[in-house]
Amino acid sequence: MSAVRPFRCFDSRVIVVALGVAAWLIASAGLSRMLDPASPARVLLALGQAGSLAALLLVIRRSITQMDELARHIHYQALAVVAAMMVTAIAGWAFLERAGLPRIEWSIYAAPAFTLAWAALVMLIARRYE
Amino acid sequence: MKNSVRELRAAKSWSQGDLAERLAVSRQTVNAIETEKYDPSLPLALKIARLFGLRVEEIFGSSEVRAPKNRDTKQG
Repeated sequence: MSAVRPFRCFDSRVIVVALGVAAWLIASAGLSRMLDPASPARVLLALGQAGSLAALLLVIRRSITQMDELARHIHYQALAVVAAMMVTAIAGWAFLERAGLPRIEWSIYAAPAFTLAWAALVMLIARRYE
Repeated sequence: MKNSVRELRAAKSWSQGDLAERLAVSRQTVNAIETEKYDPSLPLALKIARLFGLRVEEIFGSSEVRAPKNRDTKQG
């Protein structure tokens, strides 16, 4: 091992699974719109979407647990901060929505926002240990 | 936490990369421990201690261990 690479958790397996999950989410969202709102197939599709996100989390978690100790420490710190930030953002925006601000579809934006914030924080925290 | 990893490694004429390889961690982890920016986990601290044939407390927090307070003199 020669370097603590901030993006090391995004190895080839994680990237392939993430792209697969993204493609599935987009395709299933389109399919869901074509179905009757009361259709049980729509519920099945929603379960499939949630399940695919859970599977992606497991792949990422497995990747992090295989990392070097310091890199793992950095990622866990970043994840903790991002989780707190996301909870604050989602809950905070809900209050603003009630005050008339536009609605944000968190089922679409939460995962990309989380990933971007996570990556940025990993880079920031990693600088502390250089 | 203060530690004497750098001195111990230097005594063996190992580079940070050599030590990292022996500990199965990255060179950055060794560097962060030596510069006292990162305190290793207990398993890694034990691994370091075993590698140098010392006890964990002889390597980490060494200033306190090497110069313990003499309580008897204060009591008098």
